[in-house]
Amino acid sequence: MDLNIVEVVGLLLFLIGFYGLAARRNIIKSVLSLGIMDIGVITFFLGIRFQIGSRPPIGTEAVQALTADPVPQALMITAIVIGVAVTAVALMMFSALYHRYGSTNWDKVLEVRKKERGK
Amino acid sequence: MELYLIIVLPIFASLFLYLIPSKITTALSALVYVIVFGFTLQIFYRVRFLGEILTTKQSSDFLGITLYCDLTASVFLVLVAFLFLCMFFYTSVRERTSKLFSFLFTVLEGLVMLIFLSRDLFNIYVAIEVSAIVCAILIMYKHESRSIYDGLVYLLINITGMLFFLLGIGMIYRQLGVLELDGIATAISTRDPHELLLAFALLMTGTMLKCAMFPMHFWLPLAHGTPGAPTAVSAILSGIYVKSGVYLFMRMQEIFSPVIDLSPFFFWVGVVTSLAGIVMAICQSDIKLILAYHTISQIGLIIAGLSSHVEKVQAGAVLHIINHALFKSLLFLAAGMMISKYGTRNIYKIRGVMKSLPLAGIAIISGILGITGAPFFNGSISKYFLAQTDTAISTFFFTLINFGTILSFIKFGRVLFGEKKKLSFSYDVYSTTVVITLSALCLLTGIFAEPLLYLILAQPLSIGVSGYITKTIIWAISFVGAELFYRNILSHNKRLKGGIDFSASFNSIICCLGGIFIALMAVGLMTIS
Repeated sequence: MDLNIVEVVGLLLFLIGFYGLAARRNIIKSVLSLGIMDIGVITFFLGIRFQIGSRPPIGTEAVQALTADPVPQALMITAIVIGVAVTAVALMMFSALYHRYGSTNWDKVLEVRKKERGK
Repeated sequence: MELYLIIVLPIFASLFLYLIPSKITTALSALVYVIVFGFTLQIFYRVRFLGEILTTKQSSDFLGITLYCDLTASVFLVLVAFLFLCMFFYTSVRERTSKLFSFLFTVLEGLVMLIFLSRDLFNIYVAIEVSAIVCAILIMYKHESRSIYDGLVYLLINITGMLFFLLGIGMIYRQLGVLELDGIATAISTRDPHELLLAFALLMTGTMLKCAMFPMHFWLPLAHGTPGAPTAVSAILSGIYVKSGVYLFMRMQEIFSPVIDLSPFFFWVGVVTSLAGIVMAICQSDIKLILAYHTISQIGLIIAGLSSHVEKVQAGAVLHIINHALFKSLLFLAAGMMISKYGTRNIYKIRGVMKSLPLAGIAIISGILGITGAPFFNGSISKYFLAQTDTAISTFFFTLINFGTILSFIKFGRVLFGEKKKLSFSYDVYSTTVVITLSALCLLTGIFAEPLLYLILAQPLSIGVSGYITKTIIWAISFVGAELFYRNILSHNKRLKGGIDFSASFNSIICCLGGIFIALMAVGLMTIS
């Protein structure tokens, strides 16, 4: 599998985001990492069948020119919108959570939740 | 035409009802549910007797977005519409008249329908992602602090899983140039499995997370057993919504099994999930958590059945999906009744339900008899087919799982007996009807199993009398054994009384997700080389 530069960047961003989710205990950083993963996937999609020098498939000149594949780019508009919605809902939930538990740390929040469970 | 309508109608109708004054909205949204249910019945009739429905004519490049309804999908559609109708009538008047709740609940119906009808990987992704957001808001609907934590963890974990799925879609498109399931199935047959392994592992990681396979099950008890969510939401999540993951699993297996066949791996993952789910269910004292962990175990059983190569076992697994939807939502509704009347979720504090809440008692009895596979109830039929395996070891494990199920429900059934407690309550006519209908269906789908099976699977499957009697005897022996085991050993265990917490921190759940991805890659490499 020979990846072009855009796809490599996308995969790297995906892995960075995953590392952030797995290793960071801060809830805000988790939401940010999720955003980075999302951007990584979107970048990967944009790089599918893209060659340096290719142009968007718009207009009459595009017929002869080297064009990028438009399908993944069209799909990504939806993915971007969903990503924004997810971030918005997650941040809203986080702010509600912070008001009740008073911490941004996953472990501390879980501890408080375990204590609540006993009640 | 109807295929578009059953997706668009709930979404747009709920949007419209959100805007108009609230006096008539309840009646109108009830009407929407009834209409959608009618449409799904009509679609089922057409698919069953006139053939499959495809919305647009298939182009050769598979680029158009199509909706496709085959027999399995149409059965699921009827089930979804029926359960949403029931749950809507079950919800309390306060929730039913709340605009936000009614809006989200109706939108969820349309989105679940879209998952079952999509024929396009990206469409499936969009439907699952949006429905996850809707579910997360429904989980934290009452703004209870624990539910907000549960909703947040549910949302983030599921979105992470779906990002794996989306990257898998990207890999598939990069390799094959199609997103349509039929197109993928055609294109895949000529490819080298090594090219597709990465895409397969990514897609399957997302799918297995949606099915809550061990060890990625941690989000499910949080989401389904959360104290703050309305009962109807828990019942829908556990009865129907989790089945969308199973449906996705079926579709993925259908496409990929000619090239990368990991069914033995999935079989064992299913068995392990099932056993782990039962062990964790026995250790709980919270009534909703017991049911939530039980969903994990039953989903494991279904996945194990679907991964079998015997046709009868697969049919049994599909039937078990339907049966599980019926009795699990019934049990959740009964649990909701008990929780609101007794004011506690602790299973050791609720006693004497049969005398003080006869309706909930009947519902619990039929639910328990259904889920444990008692004779004449629906669970016995699907478990009979699931036990028709070709190897002795899988039969042994299916029997063991059933024993565990009976054991944990003996613990659950203890709530029925004991002193009568004075409770002030009044029967709501709608919720009573819903609970009685579901209880009756648990029995009826068991008694009329053969014609029903012929109707929904379109292939005659006969139930052998001698095999069925053997199954009944095994059930009776397991029941007596489980009762003795519970009375003599488990009920004396002090630690179980407090309930054991199996929750894990967010970071460890994410690590489990990564671990499953690596395991899938490793097993896949071993299989194809």
